[in-house]
Amino acid sequence: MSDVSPQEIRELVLDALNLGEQYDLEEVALDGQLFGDEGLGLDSLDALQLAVTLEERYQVTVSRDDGPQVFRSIETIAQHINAHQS
Amino acid sequence: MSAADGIVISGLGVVSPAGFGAGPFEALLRSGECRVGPITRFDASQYRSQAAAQVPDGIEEDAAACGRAVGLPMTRRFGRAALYGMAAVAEAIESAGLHASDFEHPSSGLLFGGSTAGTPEAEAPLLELAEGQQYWDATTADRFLLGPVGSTAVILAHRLGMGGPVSTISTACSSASNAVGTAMHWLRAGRCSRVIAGGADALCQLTHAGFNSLSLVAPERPLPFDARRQGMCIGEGAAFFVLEAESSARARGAEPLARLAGFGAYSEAHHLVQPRGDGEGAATAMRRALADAGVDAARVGYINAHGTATPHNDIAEARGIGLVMGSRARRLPVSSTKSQVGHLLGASGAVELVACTLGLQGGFLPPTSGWAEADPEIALEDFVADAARPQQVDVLLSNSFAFGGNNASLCVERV
Amino acid sequence: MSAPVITAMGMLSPLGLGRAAFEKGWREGAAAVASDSDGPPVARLARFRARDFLPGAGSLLRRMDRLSSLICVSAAMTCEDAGLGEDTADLALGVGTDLGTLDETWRFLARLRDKGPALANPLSFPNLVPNAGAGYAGILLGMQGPSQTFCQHEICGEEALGWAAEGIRAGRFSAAVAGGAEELGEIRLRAETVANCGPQSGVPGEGAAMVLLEGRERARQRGVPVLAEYLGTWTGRTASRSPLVKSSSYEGLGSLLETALDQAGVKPAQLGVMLLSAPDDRLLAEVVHRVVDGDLPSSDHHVRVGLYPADGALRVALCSLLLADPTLSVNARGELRGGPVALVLTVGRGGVCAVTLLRESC
Repeated sequence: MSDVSPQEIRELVLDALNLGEQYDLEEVALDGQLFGDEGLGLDSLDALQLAVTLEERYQVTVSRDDGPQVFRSIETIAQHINAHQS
Repeated sequence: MSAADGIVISGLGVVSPAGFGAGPFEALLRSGECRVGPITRFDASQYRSQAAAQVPDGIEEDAAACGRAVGLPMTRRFGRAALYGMAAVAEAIESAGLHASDFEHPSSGLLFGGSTAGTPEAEAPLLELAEGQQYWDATTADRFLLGPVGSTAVILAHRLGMGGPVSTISTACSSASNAVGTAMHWLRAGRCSRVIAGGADALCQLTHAGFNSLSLVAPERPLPFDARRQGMCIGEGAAFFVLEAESSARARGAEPLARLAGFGAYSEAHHLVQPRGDGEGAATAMRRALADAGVDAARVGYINAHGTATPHNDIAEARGIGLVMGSRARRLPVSSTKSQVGHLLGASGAVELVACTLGLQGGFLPPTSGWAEADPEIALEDFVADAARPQQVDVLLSNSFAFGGNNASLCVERV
Repeated sequence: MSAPVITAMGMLSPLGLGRAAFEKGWREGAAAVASDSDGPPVARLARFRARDFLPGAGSLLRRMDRLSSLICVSAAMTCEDAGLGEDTADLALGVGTDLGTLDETWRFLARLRDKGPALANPLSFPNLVPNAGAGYAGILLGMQGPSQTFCQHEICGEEALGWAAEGIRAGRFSAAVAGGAEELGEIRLRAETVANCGPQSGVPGEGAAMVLLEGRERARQRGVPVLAEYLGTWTGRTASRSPLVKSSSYEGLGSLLETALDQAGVKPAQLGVMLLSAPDDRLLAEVVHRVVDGDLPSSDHHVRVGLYPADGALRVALCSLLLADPTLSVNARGELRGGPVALVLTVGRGGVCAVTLLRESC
């Protein structure tokens, strides 16, 4: 299975969380912090949704413990998927 | 009614995971047991949690005699929530010493609080749809029409032959508390002289799937305020009250069961799902209930908590109790009936108010089943751990907090 | 005791987005009915994008379902029309909706069936409760007064308004945003045909209508014009063959109307206009005819903006415009209202019915 690009993940995340209502594409930096007020303001509800989205799309699981590291940025999500895709 | 006349509960009825009636429900409360168990209503094997508190089979038969006696026959035709509601309403009418015909006049009203109504029946054809099958070929108009949350109230009103106001409030987990509180307002305004108020909710896959998706459901049982808590379990059932002015109840020789002294409603305006962590949302609802009742916080002897056993709610609610009760909070008995019957969602406020009323009448405090381990983030100490306690209080609060930060609190007094 | 009055509104209707668009469309006799591709005529909101009206609310908007955004935008419009600025913390909020987020609920269930419980959408579920819209509106506008969501089928709009008016009268709060909203989704559209629960004539519509209710004294102190006095809402139930369908006889409705008039201190001769939930329903018009002993000008909203279960709120808002401006036509035939009191009359599934009376402000 070929690697997913951060761009692809960004599109997926924007779509899954309807972030287009809040941010333009350029505002979502690939290495930028996603969660919290210093980031894009994502919260635990978003984390749950992202986990479901990644499971469905890539059959890759993100455990609750792994969540904070995996969801740090678009790039870390891409890295996680590429490391765990079968 | 005059300003001095209070509003009382002159009758109550309940369908719970303990079965039909206040008798089995009180026995459950006193026993301290938990009625959460494996879901058998649908195949729950694929869910994160397979636990819920189901109403046992046989409600139609168990409530039949009561229904006949008050002129409200039971039927399963309209689905489970309606059946549970019918049975609880029948018991409430009987316990108030009244008959269905006493509610036909427009001076009687019905106020219903619930979240799912006939969803178990409406969702089934959709969930069982075969490949290529069309939904509208797999269901009936009636089945579909059971779905909207206002359907249970009209079913009950129809079967009672009621001509007065019928209303449905649906504010998620605070629905029934809001219904009871709004019924108080109807009576104070003279809109009705008697109101049947309460709620009903039946277990369905929609809500079980929804709360599971939010990771809010415990795998085995809810442990409110306990350090080991992992979330809620859904329950089902119904609870209804006959509410009227105290003078009107006494005039016909009915003995009131409790006085509804006050109702407080507050909108947190914070987050759709999470409560305000500082407890101010919870505190404001309680303060408003006390203010409405003209009761000082110092007189509150017990709080029946919203107590869902989710990590967030219990901390926020405990903080709120601390803000309102001050130094008394630490030792104040606070318990969660959800520990025994699960979370009845829209109907929870009503079934928990029954627990409060039975406790006031019977001189006991309902327990928090299974409580054993203190959470350092919760600065309360007395959860009426694991067993009902013989204790007579005069004033209590009953809390229900919902999605959308919709908070409700009822202040109830012993008569 | 504070007499509740209507001083502002927020309207999202097929005639246009906002009060001004609605008033203009109504004044010009416009109708906003069109056919979906090869389907029956419907009245839909055109080009509604919440972000056009709530800039800077992206973090909330992205979470919301469409119905919630209708409720939020109309509530925000109401507050703006009222000139409240930041002064919203004490506002109560009453919302009426019958079917809520029906399509989204169906999608959630279909996905549950097709993909299994582990892949159910967590972001979608909180939006399925009928009070989601009220919850979001409270957060958006900082409203911390009591918030209730009513769902008693076709009278849900009046339930919300009546609750708000009564709360002001009883002094529980000094002002409230209240009204109703309903979407025209695929499931409802199909259900109205297949399940025979829709309007007998007129077209299915959608929208949101909210008004600001406040005490008369408070309006005077704020120096704002009063559109109409809210005399009250009276609800009841007429007998119906089945609790799931509308009644066909309306027995008892006449007496509810008489009780309402009596308690409001209004003589039947003072009624100047009626806005019925089903304007082509002869039996319904007949009930009014008997009580009033004559005919009243009747609005034709059913063929101009369509019908939806929560539209009692739209009719109340329209009433307040008719009462504030006697030159505004009641219908496209150019009829004007007569007397100073307006009647909003609704009948619904299970026999529920509502009578609402409003009076022109002196």
